[in-house]
Amino acid sequence: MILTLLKRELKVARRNWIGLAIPLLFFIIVVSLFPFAVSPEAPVLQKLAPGVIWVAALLAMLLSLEQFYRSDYQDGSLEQLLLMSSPTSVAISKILAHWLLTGLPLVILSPLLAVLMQINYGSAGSSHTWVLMLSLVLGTPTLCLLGAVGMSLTLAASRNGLLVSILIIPLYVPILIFGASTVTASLENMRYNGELAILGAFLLIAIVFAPFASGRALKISVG
Amino acid sequence: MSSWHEFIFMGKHGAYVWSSYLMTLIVLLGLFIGFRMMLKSLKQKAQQEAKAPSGERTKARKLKVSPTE
Amino acid sequence: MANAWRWFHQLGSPKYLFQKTGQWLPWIWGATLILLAVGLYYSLWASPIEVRQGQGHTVRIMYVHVPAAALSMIAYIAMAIAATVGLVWKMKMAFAAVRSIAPVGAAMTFLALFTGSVWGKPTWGTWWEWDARMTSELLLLFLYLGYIALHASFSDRSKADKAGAILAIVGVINIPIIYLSVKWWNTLHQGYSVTEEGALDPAFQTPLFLMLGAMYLLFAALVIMRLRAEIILRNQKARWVTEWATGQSTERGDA
Repeated sequence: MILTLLKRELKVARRNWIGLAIPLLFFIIVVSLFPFAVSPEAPVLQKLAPGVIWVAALLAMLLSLEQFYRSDYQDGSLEQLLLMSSPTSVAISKILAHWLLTGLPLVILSPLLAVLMQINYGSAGSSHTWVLMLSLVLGTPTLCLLGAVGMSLTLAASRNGLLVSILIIPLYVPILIFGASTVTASLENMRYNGELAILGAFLLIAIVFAPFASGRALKISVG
Repeated sequence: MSSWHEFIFMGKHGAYVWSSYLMTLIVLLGLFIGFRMMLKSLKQKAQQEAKAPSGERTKARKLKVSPTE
Repeated sequence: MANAWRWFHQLGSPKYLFQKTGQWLPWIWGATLILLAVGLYYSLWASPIEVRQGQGHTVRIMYVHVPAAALSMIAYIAMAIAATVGLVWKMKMAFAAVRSIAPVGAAMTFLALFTGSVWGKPTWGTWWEWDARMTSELLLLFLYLGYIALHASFSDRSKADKAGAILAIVGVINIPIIYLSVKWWNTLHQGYSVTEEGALDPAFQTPLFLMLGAMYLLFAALVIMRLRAEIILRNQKARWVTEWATGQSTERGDA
């Protein structure tokens, strides 16, 4: 059931590929602003890198949220989906599609930004890049899950673009803290297993609660 | 507290202490007045509606079918 | 038990709730004013200054800061409980209560931040410190404002109620996570917490407990005032509201 729904989501998204590319472009452009604003020196950029990349990823996730829900809500197809299957599975399929089409590309693009932000400055290998990707792999699904709750809540609201950001950003703070500090710990040559474990724990908690809450919220928005 | 002078100046921290209490007073009083005015204006609205001719009232009632009910 | 259950159901009736709260309100206000008068006397006049940490008179800020901070948390928990009652038992008055607690809770959060900041200047030498408690309090304020913004963005009130209720519950699950995360982050960056409290000297306890009691009652009184306005707002078409407004009814729910 969820697989069918997911296939539908991916098919809809393929028609709107440019809408999916824009948040990714935003991700890159926002990060590339920082060298202009602060300093192009490698040590400075390296120090800023974890925070900047994580904040940009978080904002890109928020920006991309809209298109997975808005058009479906407006053309009535969300209502039909909810008639056919349970709200939780609709929510799960949307969250999965959102992560596959935005979260995963962000993770794949992040090494490029790691290069721009000089994340491996002063170290021989590229281990910091891997840590950054790992933290994003564990963190972005949680961003998708929480974002789904916020987006589902605001679907029927009259103003929503920025409203969802206001609702969700305070809830994103813990993920941001541990996501960025995983990378910072790696940059300082310290152990980062603990931070990764906590990111994983957040993910598990969100997996348990968020699809259900999002499903309920979708039902309220439509009903 | 030993004197009025000390009460007003609070050592040398009078501005800090009094601004805290003053802000608390302003915010809470603001809520109090705001809520009171809200109830009052609602009451006036209900009174006006009661005074309006009954024909108009039923019409208005029909138009406003609230989905909450 | 059966009686308690029936009473709980009666509270779900807007008319009953409006009349009952109208009867309670004068008593609550009376108790509030008495406690507040005694509390202010102790907190501003009849209590010693702090000597051990050299805070001097600024310790008096604590008597408004601590109650505001405590209420800001309790109010959010109360909102989440009312939201759960509303969603589970489909009780409309519970949603009205959630909406009524939000502005007062937000005000308390703002006051906790403001007085904390004013207290911080003479004690730590700075208006703002990214301390675990202050940061969590700031995020709590955002959660309150988010709820109010969300509720205000719907034209359909029942949707606004339910969406807001879900947000309140999601928020309350997140508050401990936010607090612990911020605390961890804070120790990582500073290694200490500026608001670490030792055992409180008994001399400071009297005014603090008096002010805590007064502020709790004040909070309850303000929430009830807001709730009464909310009940009327939601039942403008009901006959009992017209009767109340025009004073035709024998019972006066006004206070």
